[in-house]
Amino acid sequence: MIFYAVEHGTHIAKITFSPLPGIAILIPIAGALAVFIVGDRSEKFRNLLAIAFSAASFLCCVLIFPRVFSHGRILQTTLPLFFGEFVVSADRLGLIFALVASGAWLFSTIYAYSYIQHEERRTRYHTFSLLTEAATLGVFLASNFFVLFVFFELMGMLAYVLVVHSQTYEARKAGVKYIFMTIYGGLSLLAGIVLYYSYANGVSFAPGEKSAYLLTSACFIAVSFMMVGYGIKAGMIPLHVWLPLAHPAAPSPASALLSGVMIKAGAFGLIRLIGTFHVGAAAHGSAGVLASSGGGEHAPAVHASANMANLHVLGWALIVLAVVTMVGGMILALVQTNIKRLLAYSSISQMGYILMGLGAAAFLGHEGAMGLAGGIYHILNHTMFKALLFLGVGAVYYSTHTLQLTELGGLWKKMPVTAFLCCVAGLGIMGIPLFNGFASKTLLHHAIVEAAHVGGPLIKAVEVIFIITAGGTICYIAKLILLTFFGHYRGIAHDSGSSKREVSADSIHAGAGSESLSSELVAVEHVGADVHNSAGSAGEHAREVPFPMQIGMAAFACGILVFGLFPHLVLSKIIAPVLGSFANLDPHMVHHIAEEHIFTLSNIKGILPSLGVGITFFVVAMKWDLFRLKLPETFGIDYYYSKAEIGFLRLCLAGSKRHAELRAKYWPLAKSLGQYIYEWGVSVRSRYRERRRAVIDRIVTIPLDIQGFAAYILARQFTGDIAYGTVIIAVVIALLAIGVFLK
Amino acid sequence: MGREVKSVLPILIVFTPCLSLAGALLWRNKRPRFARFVYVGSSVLTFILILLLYPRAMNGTVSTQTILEIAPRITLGFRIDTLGFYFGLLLSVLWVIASFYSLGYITSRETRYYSFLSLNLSFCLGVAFSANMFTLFIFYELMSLFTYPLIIHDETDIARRAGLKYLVYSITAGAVILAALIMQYFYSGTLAFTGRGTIGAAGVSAGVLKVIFSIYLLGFGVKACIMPLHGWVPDAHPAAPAPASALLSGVILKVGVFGIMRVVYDVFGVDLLKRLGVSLPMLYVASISIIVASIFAITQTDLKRRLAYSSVGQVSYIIFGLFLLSKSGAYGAMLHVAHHAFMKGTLFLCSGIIMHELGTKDVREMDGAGAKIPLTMIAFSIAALGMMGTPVTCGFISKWLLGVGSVEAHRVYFIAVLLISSLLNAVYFLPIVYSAFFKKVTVRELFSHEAPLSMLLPTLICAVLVLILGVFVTVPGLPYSLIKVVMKVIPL
Repeated sequence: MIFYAVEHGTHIAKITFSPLPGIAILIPIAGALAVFIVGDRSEKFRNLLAIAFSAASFLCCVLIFPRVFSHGRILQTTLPLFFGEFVVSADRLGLIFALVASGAWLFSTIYAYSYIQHEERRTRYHTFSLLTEAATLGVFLASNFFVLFVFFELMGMLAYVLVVHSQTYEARKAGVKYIFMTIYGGLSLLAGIVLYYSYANGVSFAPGEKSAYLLTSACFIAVSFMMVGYGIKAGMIPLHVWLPLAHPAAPSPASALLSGVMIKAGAFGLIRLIGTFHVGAAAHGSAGVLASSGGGEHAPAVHASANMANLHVLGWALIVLAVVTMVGGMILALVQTNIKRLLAYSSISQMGYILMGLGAAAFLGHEGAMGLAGGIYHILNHTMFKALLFLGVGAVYYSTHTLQLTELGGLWKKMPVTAFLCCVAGLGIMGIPLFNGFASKTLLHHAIVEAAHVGGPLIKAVEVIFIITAGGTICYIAKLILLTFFGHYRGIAHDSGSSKREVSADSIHAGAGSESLSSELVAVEHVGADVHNSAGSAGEHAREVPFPMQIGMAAFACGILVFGLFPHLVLSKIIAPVLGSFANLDPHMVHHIAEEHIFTLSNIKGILPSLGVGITFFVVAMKWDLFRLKLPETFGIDYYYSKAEIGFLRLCLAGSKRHAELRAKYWPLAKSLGQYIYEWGVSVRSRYRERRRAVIDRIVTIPLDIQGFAAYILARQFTGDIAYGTVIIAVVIALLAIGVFLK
Repeated sequence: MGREVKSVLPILIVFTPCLSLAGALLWRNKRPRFARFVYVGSSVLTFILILLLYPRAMNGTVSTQTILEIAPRITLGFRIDTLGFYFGLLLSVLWVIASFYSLGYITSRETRYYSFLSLNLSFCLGVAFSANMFTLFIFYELMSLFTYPLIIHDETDIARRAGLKYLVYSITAGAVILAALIMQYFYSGTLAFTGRGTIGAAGVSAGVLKVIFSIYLLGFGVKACIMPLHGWVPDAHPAAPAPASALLSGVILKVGVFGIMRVVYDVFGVDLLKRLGVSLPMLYVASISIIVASIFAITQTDLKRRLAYSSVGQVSYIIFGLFLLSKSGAYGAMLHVAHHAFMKGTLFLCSGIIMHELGTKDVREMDGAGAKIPLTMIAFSIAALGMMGTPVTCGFISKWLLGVGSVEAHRVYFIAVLLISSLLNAVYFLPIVYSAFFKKVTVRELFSHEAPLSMLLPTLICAVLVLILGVFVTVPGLPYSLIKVVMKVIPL
């Protein structure tokens, strides 16, 4: 495996060996062990341990930060695992992801300190949460595709335990979908990486100079397999089916991490994938310069352009998928009444934004800095606001034990801190100026406009869709915040509470989010009648959540405000250096992004159409009660996936049943055939015994005789089996004979 | 490299397990505890003796020993090259694990069980250390016959029937191998293993070579359970006691595979096989075997039957890797021998504990087993994840190498077989795992508890080995380093 030094603008990043990246990954593993050993013996100590270890891991990433960002180094740790060269390295791109991931993990663990107390199996939760953290950091700090794959698979498998944590029927159902989608994704990714390995002569993120991967259409096969693998994790729309089931099923701090961090691993993989083209192109490009200065041929330059053309096609595909993801997620989020489900669909939609940025970056290739900047910025932002929203919703559930919008309302009086923090997150995701979403959405918008200059009217249409989706986002978030925290409290029936909760839990999971809605609403209507009669509902007792949960949420809110108020700082200190590590990006554009002004009048004007669309949506929907719109079951792609899965299992069963039938039918035939062969064999044996003795060596005959005797005894009972075997041998020999004669 | 040393060790190693026969004869009635100590001690001693050969194996020195010359160029003799050593080491490790496990599991007819167990170790080592096809055949046949008492150990009707079926298959296969042996001797005049193909030099026509090759494959294919010849496997595995089925699946199937390896590398040689063009048809056979066996496994509800079908599929991975005839393919194949041995060993040992403690072998009745026998089910889960090829288990290493191997052999589309098989493995293993851990405990298992240490410890060691082989791949002494030495001889 070869490790390339990556060019940062003018200077080349030095690769320094340092144990820090390895330690960052090992700390959570050690933490998991410690947490497991302490176990239920001391609840408090165990929870503090979990926090301490995730804090240590975060600290480790913080320590790496200045070395990588200001000194421009890549820190590497070689672990003596697997085939000997198992290297984890912190380059700028990976580190910024790892930093945000470990930070999110720290605050989610602080939040879980209180939250998880009302769940069972708390030790298991903390143990697997820390293990998953290690795997996730491993994905971000991977130095090549092999390492990335190993950690990617581990992350998916370990997170399964978090998804099924509650062990209810619904959680297990969600878990099955989750684990199988993870397996499909893992296999697809493996296929992609093996193909990449074969064409690029290695698993490094930088394919070799004359690698077939970049120059031929072979790259499309590898790339599409990898895209399916990453896409499943990222919740890209035809592959998203696990997401709306798994995220609501997990406990809230885990959903925050699933949505905030783990699905980003998919996007991260795609960025690495785009990076392979850039490194390759840079290598070809410099080779081209050398060749032309020597007055030679221009083939390498041609190669570089072929490579960029491949990237262009990848960009097209990504943009199309991103549009579908963005719009589909938005529409499905609009019609949800379960708030966690709403957030899950919102995550899908927001991943569409991110994919859009990456797509634009790939589409523009050399000039794609803006899309990449927008995509990365939005990933960081989405981590914060979506994690905060999930935690806030968890806080609501903690206090009221319901997730139904129809049963909530007016909670801001009872839970002012949670309400305030959720509003911050809501404004962030809406993209209101001074909050972080504004900056990233502005960059994404610029990226689409730039792409439209090259791509023509089709991309222009994408811009319109982008604005409408932003409007939809504003609408569903407004719905979430307003119906949960404001207005009057609608409440749950106390007397029928238990049966009610079962129904709502049921509705979290079933199907693609539409078929369950009907039963949900029926249940709600039933219960609604009781609500007004029963006075003592849970909402009356709702109160502010414990302090650790507030800290966990407040930390994310601070991040949102910092990223929203100082976008210039983020762009120049984080995003631009990260972009600098993409060798083939136009350095002028990177420079331009570092200097970009976010709070200009035109940018702020740019949000007005979305705001208008959003408010219109909201008013119209409230007026005609469209938020409860019921979509047909066949609308969701999951319906067809389930059909296919069940069909396959049926096919397996039918196949083996048919096999048994055939066997039963033809067994007597085989048996009589066996009888015949047996008798024939006996006669042949007696006739040729003498002659054979002369031909074959005496040593050989003795075991043959022993065998013949044993076979004689046994064969009488097993004529069917013998015939079966004989027929197979005969067929094979006949085939061989035919082969010999034909030759 | 390539040095040959005369040594008495091979004979000593092969006959050490027979010591336990003395234990059986002398102390079985008077001092049963001491007799048991002798049974287990003999397999541990064998393991230690094999370890003595480690330095030689690592620098590629071959230890040889001729016992007697029966006829010109037909000798009975031993020759331990690195491949043989690798097999011997694997055999003895698994045998030690299974012997310890048997202490807790086997309660009746101990003398017979341990005697035949030890004799089988002897014969398996004989196969692994044989110097020529003739010796291999003799020990192979003995092993086939002496496995029978292990299969019918419970002496139920089902076990007897399974045992007879096994005998019919094995004996027929033995006759077929003998035929191939005679043909090889007739055409090339030598049966010795030299590390490269011998039959190619004889100037025989390609057609005849193909015939010899196919007959060999038909013979060894029965033990290696290549798909149409696998009939005995799903009957014999569930019938045998758990440690015996762990050995059946972990080792005895592999002895068939080892025969095929000898045919490929020592009788024919890679170059000749490439010229004969048998690679592609064999890949098709193995692929069909992998996928169809997995589909059969999905439909089984008896845990051990499901594991047996899974073995059929997994052993075909090895055949698949061998006939890729590429470097990584060969690595993957040889590594998978050990990897599958430990994974399937763990699974069978776990199935023994499950039957012992929960009293069921129906996969639909495993709900909540994780709460009652947690360590066992964790071991089961590790091995099951290994079967699916999840990273950090050794299954992933095989899958990766086989995948890379099929690319190296320019047969990229065969990766699909590996992926589909992994998926099918997930379909039939995962439900067991998640119903064990994430479902409510059923009434049946309310009073069950974890198995005794003599059964639990070997199972856990096996499971930990699955992880170690999956993470510390290149550590000297583990299979990868041995195979590196083996591969120096093989011209790939």
